[in-house]
Amino acid sequence: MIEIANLNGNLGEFHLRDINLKVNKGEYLAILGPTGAGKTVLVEYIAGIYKSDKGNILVDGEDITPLYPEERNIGYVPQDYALFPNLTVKKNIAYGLEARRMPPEQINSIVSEMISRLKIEYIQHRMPLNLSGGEKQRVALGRALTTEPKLLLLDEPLSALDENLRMEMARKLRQLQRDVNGTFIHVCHSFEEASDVADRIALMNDGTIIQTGTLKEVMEAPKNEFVARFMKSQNIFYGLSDGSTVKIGKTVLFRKNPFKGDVLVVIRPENIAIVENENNKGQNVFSGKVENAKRKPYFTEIAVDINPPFVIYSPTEKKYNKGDNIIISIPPEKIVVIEKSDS
Amino acid sequence: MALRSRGGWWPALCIGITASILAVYILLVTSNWIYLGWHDTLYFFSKSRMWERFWLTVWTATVSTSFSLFIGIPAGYALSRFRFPCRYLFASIIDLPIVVSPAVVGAFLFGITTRFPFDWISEYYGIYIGRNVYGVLLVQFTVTAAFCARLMKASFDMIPVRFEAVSHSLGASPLRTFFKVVLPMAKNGIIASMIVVWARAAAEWEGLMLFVGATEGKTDIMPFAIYLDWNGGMMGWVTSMSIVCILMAVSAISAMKLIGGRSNVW
Repeated sequence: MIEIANLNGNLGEFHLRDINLKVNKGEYLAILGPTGAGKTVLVEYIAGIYKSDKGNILVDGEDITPLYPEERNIGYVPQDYALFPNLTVKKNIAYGLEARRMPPEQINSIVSEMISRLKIEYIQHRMPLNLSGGEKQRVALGRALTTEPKLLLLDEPLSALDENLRMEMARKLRQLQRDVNGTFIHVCHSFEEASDVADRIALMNDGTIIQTGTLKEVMEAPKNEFVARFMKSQNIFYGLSDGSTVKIGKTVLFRKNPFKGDVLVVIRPENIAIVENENNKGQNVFSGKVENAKRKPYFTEIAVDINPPFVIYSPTEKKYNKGDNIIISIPPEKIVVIEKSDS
Repeated sequence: MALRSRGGWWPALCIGITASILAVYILLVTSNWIYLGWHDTLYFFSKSRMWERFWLTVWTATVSTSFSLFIGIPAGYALSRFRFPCRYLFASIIDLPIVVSPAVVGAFLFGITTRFPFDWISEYYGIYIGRNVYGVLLVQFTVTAAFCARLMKASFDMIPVRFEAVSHSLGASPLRTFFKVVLPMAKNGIIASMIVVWARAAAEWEGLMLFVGATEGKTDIMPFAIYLDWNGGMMGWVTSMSIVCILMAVSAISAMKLIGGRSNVW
């Protein structure tokens, strides 16, 4: 298990602040956050590239904080893969084993097995310069995994790939992690990518971790406004709570909550249902006019001019036009109420 | 990347000025060659005096370049990668021999060769560094070592540190990383820099004039010999040796561009 406790680092213009994170053995964790959040810096601290000012990094209970990168046994795959251009693919993959002064026969056997596992036999004698993005990624993974690292750090490993290849490589990456039962930390800035690979996510902003959990947990219960916005919860409003209802704009939502006073209300668009029966007069049922409807690949995004305006996702093929009357229902349990001071 | 070619007076003026610079150099070389004549060219080029000086220039520049590389590669790497106290001061001091006239370097060397460690080397090993070929090597080394470190720094700066980070993460020590990753990646830059340093060493004469002085066949490398023959009014020797120097320079620059072009140092 990897445990990071109160990690602080100062890189002049950028500070890493009070990082606390646990990654279980065999777990795939995605670190998410906007550009400049400090994801890459955190990974570089874990790899040992920078020396931390405060805090500890523990791997299986052993404090590796004072160790140099070559003593940590933590694999690192940077964004551009950094394949050594002076070595062939096979030599790149063998590099870590040669550094450990393993016998040549053993190196050959491990490297051949890795090459076969990654299905890159056809490029093993080629130089990295002549490889495609996907091939480079597989070679970089192979190079990092041959040394059986206790943790593999992947810094935006899919960002250099086109959309189709990215999805395919994400699947393969996940499969590979399961095959080797490795502990992976994967940096990315899209939650779609994280959802393809990760067991859990950690959301970062401004040099600190804001929230960790499964993707569903973070989406359903964002800790603050930043998380809600980052996870694309499009209905985010400031309101007033009395403990059993929350008033946002001219709308009163029924939702029991422990707060009284100013609150932040978050409702995911996919959690708002369109009611077909006009006689439905239940709790949190509102009618309004369609302000805008955009057809997306798997759903229709509809803006409804209730006060305040709501955005909903309709998974059906039904076509909505501007000005159409629409009735929506918001299940109380799907309304997230956050105390405003936390936001 | 070149701009789309277009007509008009402005591109014509720019290209014309470039052509005129080239024409001046061609005129300089050809007029001197014409002055020398084909017969005299063959005469001077067949003399051992010419080739003794040529080889003296080549081997002293090669040896001093080797010493400069020995110092310049680690120094350049340190300046490129490590943070240490007084780094900027050190970087400024190491630039001094580039900015200061080589004559000053020669004058300063004159002052220190009677002190440690030079007096010690002279006493225990019998190697006197002064008005001999060791003096030539010392001047060439002093003038080019800093220059070499600067160029090496530029070569190492071109290599992203991520490669070293990855190498370390794979368990390689800093020394192994340097020899297996950094040095091979900097190879083209190092070769290009080496050629420039060699050319700089071969062209040195101001420092030599002050520190070493001229001893026929022992310390008179080609640029120095040109100066001495000029003073002696031996214009045939001056012209023929100048042509050899130009050929050496053209070869060095061509090699540098050929190799250095790929290294992005030039």
